[in-house]
Amino acid sequence: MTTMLDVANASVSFGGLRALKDVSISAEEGQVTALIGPNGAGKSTLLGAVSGFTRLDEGRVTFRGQDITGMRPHQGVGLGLARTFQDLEVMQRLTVAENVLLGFPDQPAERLSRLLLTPWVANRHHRATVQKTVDLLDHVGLLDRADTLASDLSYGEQKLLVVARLLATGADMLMLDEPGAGLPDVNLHQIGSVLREAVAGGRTVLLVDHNMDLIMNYADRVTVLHHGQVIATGTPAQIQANQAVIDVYFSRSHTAQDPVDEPLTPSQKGAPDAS
Amino acid sequence: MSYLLTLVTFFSIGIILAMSLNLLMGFTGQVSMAHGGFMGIGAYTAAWFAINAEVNMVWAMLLAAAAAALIGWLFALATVRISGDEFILASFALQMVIIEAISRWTDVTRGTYGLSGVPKPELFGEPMRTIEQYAVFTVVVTLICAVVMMRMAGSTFGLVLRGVRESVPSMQALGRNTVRVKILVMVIASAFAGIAGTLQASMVTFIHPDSFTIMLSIIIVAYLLVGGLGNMWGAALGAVLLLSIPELIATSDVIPSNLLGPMERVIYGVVLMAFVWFRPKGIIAERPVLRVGRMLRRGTVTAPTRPGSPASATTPDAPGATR
Amino acid sequence: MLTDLLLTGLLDGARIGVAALGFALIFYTTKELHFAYGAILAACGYLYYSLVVDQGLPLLLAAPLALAFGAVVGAVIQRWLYRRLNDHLAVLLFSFGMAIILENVLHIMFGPTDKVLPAGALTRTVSVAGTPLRVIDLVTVAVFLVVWAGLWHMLERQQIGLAIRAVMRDSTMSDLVGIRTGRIKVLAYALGSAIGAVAGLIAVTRSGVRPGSGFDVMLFAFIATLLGAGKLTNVAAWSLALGLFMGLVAWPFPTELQTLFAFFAMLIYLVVRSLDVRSLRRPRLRRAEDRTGVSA
Repeated sequence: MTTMLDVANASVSFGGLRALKDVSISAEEGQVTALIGPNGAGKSTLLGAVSGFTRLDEGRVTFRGQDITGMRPHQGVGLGLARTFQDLEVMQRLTVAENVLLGFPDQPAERLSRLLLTPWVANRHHRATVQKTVDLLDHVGLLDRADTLASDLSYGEQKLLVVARLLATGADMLMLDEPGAGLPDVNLHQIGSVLREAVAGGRTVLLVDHNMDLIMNYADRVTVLHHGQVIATGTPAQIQANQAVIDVYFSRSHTAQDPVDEPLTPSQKGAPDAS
Repeated sequence: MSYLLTLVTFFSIGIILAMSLNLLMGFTGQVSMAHGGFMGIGAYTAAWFAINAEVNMVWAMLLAAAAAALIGWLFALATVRISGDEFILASFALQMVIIEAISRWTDVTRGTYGLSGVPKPELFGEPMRTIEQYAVFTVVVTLICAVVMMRMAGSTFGLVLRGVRESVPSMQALGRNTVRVKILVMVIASAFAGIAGTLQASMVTFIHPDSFTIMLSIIIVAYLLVGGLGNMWGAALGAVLLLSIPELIATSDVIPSNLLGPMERVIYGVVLMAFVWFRPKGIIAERPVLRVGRMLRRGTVTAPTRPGSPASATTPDAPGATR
Repeated sequence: MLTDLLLTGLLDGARIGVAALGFALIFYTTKELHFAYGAILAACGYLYYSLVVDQGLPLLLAAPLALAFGAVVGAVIQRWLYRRLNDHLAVLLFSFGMAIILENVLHIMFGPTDKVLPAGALTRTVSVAGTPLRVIDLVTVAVFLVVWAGLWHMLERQQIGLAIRAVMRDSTMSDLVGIRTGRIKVLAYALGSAIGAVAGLIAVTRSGVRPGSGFDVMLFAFIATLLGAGKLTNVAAWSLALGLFMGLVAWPFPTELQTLFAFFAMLIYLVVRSLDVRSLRRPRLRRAEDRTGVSA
């Protein structure tokens, strides 16, 4: 088994608040690695650091043996890493099919030179990409919504759309920020099975979520973050039995599910480090 | 007849302006208040080369496009990291400064005296003499520009622009260099504005800083708003409709001729406000580029046939498709 | 020579500052690009001119009337027009429309040429430490300082200022914690437009207003607002800096180039501000295709 993604000693602070403190995690090829922890634990920050959206103060990110620390956000897909966002970032005024079509990278039909000088080539490629889009939409069950504006989709459908867009990138490493949050069970298992199929097809998945159903049913390994630090790593079963995790996470799962806008709320910042 | 041809020429110029600003504003979401200024840069560049270096206006047009594109590129480089609202303020400042520069750089532009005697283009070694010839030339140039811009708008390139408008992080996560896209579209829009400026300069043969002020920039924005932001046919329609207003009030004889200009602009203002208030999407609203339902029906693409998955898709006119 | 230019620069800076503070107050509070600000400023200048010259009102009576007019117009625009528009782009385009209409109505009513108040006590020249200065310039500096200090006092020392600053930071959150954001926005418009009206009165007294004055004034107001980056104190400071900078530029270069230099200085500053030093050190990355030997 080879390590796809390796984050070593990552630290990030935002204006005095340390969102990540010396965090090291890795994701193995062909596995679903889950990152859990209460709100403000630094999960999304870590995802941002890996995908180039957040800058690391210290530490290194290695992907397939190549140092990608300080990568710019748009370079991820070219290297084979793609991500989703917690607030989805669906392109609201584009149709479902258009959203997914944009997921396919390096299309000749978006290069001006190809578009204007060899339009027939661009058109042929474009038809092929649309066909791939149709296939993918069918795969995730959104084909009958293809020409609907993304803003007219339900929340669950939007989450599926985001996953479809992620798959379209063809990246080997898929990183999802809270794909399960706020979803009814039907959609949850739709997403879960799509992810499982992706892994069966050789992709590697890094999952950030609160949803215990999703984690316990679909993750191979789980890392728990709390106050910007790793407090446990193991299989889902090991994590469920881990006393430290039970103390900080499961016992407070109700508060952890509460909607909190800021990654670090003052109350959490000021809370004494009990663990 | 020649009145009609003059109108056609001005409509054509307006269409190029509206379509090019649409790529920037309607598609990419970068509201620019300097489009009239870029037109001015083009007009002055072409006129200067034609008058001082006796360059054929056909080639001067390319120089004008290059000059406008260069300024657009520099401006885009400088503003690419600032927010949308700040971009609007900065483009307003650019517009004011372009006019300031044209008015002050008297050695080249003759300042507020304006440049007169701008020639018509020469084709096949013959200068154009009649309005018929020039109108045909303008229409041909406009058609070429329009085809190029509509090809951009109706392709995945146009989708990428809209994607940047909708969500920059998302486009970055999908591997698009959004900074590059924003700079590119600014350069393209500026170049087309430069071409429009050249056509204008040749048409009226006299150019003056007052022809390219903030008023013009706002009126081009109004073309888009009336016709439909994000829709190329809408942009063209808006330009034609608004350019007809001065012709209509000029024929009415009610308004004294010295107040025609201000009256005309007051009407533009009223039309602009009315559209924002009552029909903000314009006459022709933005439409999706991709119609999967239609492509499936025509067999351009095929739905995967699996047991249990209905191969039919919704019609392209599903509710919300033209929201 | 240099001191003269610096002094002129400082006076210019004060004049820019008054107009910029009003615009910045509106923009920072509501995040709306109120383009009609300049046109309303010019309209107040014309109203003042008309009250004094045509109606023969004393200056001290006409001035408050013109200010009140500005404040009311600003408040009405926000409360009954902008509030009903659903996004900032709509507000921007709508205010374009108003700006065009106002400018051209002024043109139709007053003609295209400058209107300036007849010479009076305010335009006399007095000698301050050996330098001849016009009274109106001294008044401008005083007004600028008063507006600056007044806004600072209101924002930092008063209850209402707390609410305004909260709305400036995050309007939605302020709404949630019970601040009447609607009223705060109307207040910002009223106050900002009144400050703009002051700038209009100064202009009509000093060098006159044209229908197009509104847009001219806004150039510097915008630059100062952009540079101020969300803080009114910064806007005032940047206005002075802009004035001084242009005074300095006028020393070696022709004065016609002042505006150009100010604009380029702004662009350069914006670029530098947005530059992330660490982003200059980026790793060179191989793409996935290069690694696997597959080409696009």
